[in-house]
Amino acid sequence: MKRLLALYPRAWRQRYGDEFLALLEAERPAARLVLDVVVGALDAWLRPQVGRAAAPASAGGARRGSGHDVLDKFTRRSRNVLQSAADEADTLRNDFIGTEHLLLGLLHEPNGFAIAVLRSLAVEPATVREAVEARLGIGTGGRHQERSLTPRAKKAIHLSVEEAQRLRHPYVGTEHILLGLMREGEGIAATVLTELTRVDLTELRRRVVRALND
Amino acid sequence: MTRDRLAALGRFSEPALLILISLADGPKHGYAMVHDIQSLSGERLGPGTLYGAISRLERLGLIAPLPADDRRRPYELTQAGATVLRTELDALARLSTAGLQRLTATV
Repeated sequence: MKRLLALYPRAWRQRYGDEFLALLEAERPAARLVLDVVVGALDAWLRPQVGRAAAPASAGGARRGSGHDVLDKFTRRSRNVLQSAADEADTLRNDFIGTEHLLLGLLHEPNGFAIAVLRSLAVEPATVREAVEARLGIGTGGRHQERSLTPRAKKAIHLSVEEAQRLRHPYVGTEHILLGLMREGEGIAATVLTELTRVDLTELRRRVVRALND
Repeated sequence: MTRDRLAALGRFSEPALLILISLADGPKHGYAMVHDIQSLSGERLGPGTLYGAISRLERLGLIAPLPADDRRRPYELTQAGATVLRTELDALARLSTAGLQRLTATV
């Protein structure tokens, strides 16, 4: 359970770490609990309530301190993707969660629309994993270490919310995370996606709409 | 005025209201809140959700931390928190009364 605390930002851990661990230790470990804490940790990165690190997000536009939650509209599957991304970073011993881990996280939801869209572009999940891992060595960090969300991953998550709004969808599904990763443009995820799908953001959006209408 | 303050918390607004209610009869630490809220509402808040709401309420000045007892830190309702809670509950009570009246009028 202690490893879950490592997902929270440092300032947050300094303020709430002890009491949070005391609470975690009193709870019985369960999948639902782990998901709740992982989503809580990402929320603390995306909308910091503690310390001066509470800078406004570069994308997404919501004002700081309003407390509104970026992850509000994430579907169950999308939340699972976030948890899988954290797990991937852990397995790969990377001390950060980047766009590449989010992309790998998408592969854990084979029935999500993101995978359907990739398949419509003749891209198989196994190919995506290979391409990501080719660019990403196994880290030197130990497992269960302190882990931060990279600025690009943060941006991609904000952009996935924007992509959902753009399509006037009241939720953020795996397909919007896919669009967010592509639109972020500079991370490993965007590079891999551009290379494998051979389409641009506009075409990817079109594919998403088509997959949803099928 | 104060009505909007909890609503602005998005998916944390309901947990936030439950926390304020839980603290209305005295300070409690996280674990005690989880139990109290479960017995009040049947809902068991996950630690991530609980602390997402606690950090927001603290930032808004609606609750305040007290010195920790061992590692458990109790929180208390502030004056502002009590005002917001009263406003929220009054609104809910009006809603509940209106709804129940309509039910008895039609059924």
